[in-house]
Amino acid sequence: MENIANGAPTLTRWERFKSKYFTKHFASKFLTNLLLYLLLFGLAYVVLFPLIMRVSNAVKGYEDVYNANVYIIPQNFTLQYVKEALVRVDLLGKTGWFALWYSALISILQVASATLAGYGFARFKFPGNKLLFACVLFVLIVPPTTITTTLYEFFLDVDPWGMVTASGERMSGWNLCATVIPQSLMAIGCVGYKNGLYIYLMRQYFKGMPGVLEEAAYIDGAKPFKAFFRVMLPSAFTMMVTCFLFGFCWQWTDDIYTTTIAIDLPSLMTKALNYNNGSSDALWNSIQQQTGVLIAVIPLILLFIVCQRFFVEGIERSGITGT
Amino acid sequence: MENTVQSVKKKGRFHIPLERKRQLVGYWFCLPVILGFFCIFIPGMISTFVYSFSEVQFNVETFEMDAVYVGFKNYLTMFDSVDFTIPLFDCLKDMAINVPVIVLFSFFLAILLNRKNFPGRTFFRVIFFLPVIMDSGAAATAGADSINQYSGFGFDATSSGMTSNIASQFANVLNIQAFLEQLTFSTFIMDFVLKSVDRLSTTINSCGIQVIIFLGALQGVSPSVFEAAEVEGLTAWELFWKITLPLISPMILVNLVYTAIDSFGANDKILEEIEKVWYTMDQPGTGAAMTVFYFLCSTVIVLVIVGIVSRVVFYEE
Repeated sequence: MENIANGAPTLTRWERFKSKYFTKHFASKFLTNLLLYLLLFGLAYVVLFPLIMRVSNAVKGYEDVYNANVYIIPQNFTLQYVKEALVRVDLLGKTGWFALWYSALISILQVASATLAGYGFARFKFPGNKLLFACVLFVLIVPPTTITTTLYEFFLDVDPWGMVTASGERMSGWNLCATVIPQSLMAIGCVGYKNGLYIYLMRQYFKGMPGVLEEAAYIDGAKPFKAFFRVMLPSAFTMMVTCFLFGFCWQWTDDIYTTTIAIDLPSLMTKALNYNNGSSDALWNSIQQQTGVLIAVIPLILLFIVCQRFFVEGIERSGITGT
Repeated sequence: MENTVQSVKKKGRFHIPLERKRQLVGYWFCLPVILGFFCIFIPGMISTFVYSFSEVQFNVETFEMDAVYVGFKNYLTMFDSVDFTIPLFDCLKDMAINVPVIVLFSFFLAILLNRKNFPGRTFFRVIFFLPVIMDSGAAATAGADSINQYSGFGFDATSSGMTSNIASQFANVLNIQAFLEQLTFSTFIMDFVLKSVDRLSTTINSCGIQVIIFLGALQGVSPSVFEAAEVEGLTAWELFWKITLPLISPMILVNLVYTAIDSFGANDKILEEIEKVWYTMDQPGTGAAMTVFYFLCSTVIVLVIVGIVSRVVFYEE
């Protein structure tokens, strides 16, 4: 160490190496980092384990399932079951196409009303602002089943003021459960799955924006709506994309509405879980269901890889505070 | 803004000041929420409540559901139904462990990931966030048990599924339990620790959003606060307890509530049972009573958490 302090040029390579790496500082730093990475890689493995297992199960042959020697790498590699699942789930056919535009529609509606409401809550102190926001959080707390089942019965037979049955042609009202209307209405009304979260995120985001921006717009003679659309909306784009992606993914894998008010609509998840080859082999059936689900969520994985920036940073930057 | 309000001195009976007018525009922005809450949510809740107190039958002539008031009969049936009460009780028991463990763990992860000059930060952040997308809805429930059975580490599937039991296997190998018993540890604490170790994979899989919320909050703390604390000579330990923790405490509340809602709001066994009773067994009244009770439980839990924790939370102002 003293050699370095004097700046002596007579250091050998070994001495330089020693003075750099054989220090207490380096050792402690190295050990902390080693422990940190060991821990993080271990935890990452636990997170990825179900995914790895699903992929592995998907390409296993029937014999491998009961072979205790086979763990992750299959002995009888086969793509037969993947192909079967692809046909069953119908990802590339009508169901997949429907899931795509339906999820997009619902989440766009959700984001649209959540953005409006979030801005309203953040910027306007109208009477009842706090109370209404409490209602939003209340909707978030209530488990969706509390209302979906009765809503399902309502939408099964919609007959406003007896208009539909008045002519006597139809015995019962419209069955809206086979249409996209019920969930669209719920999305517009912000009572869909975790919509309160989007309102919360948008509200926090707008609260964090400087109010000077709109004031300038007001002084230039803009009305509140114009100020919102022209000034605030463009900057909130990232946050909106984040909410959209959440809505899209949660709608894609939804199993709350597809078993109630959207039960008559085609659903990837229902088809994936609907595996029946007549056998009572529970483990095998379960693995096949999983393969179906794996096929059905492939688009989500791709979406996540492409858009991970929006998912993660959107929340991080929303500046959520407890107030 | 205030200047404009004062310059307008018109005084009519129905005159609304400009500032006020602008605030009232807020109603237009919140219109979707108002409509959704009062036209969809409230009617849905009311009819569920009505159902829960009545015998519901489908009227073949009018094509409508006839509800006849029967008092608390449905609730009594509900409490007799073992298929409902046991999962509910299990769920509450799980929650008592899961919620604090998930929040603590995500706080811990967020602190790990928040280190400066730490390569691979984005990578790990993305990995821990993956379950939010992957393990939602049907994807989480689909044959989760078979992964357990398959993991080769044992068959002890917890109610939350997806437990690989790597952790508990590890604990068994080292015989930690016997070791701690010899140290005369309190059984309650030991049980808590071992159970939370058992849930390691459930915990990690459900802390994606919480980690990000904590990370965002940690980055929101102004660096000058830390600098000042360092100048004053605080050690890292004191820094954590005196600066970081109080500043992050509002987020702890948010995360506790979010975790409670997340882990309670979508318990598959309870939801399945409700659906079964409602549709297959054709007892909408009992099903409605179950959902009402379920919802009351979740509301009470959230209120209790908010009530207790908000006393401790520190707001910087």
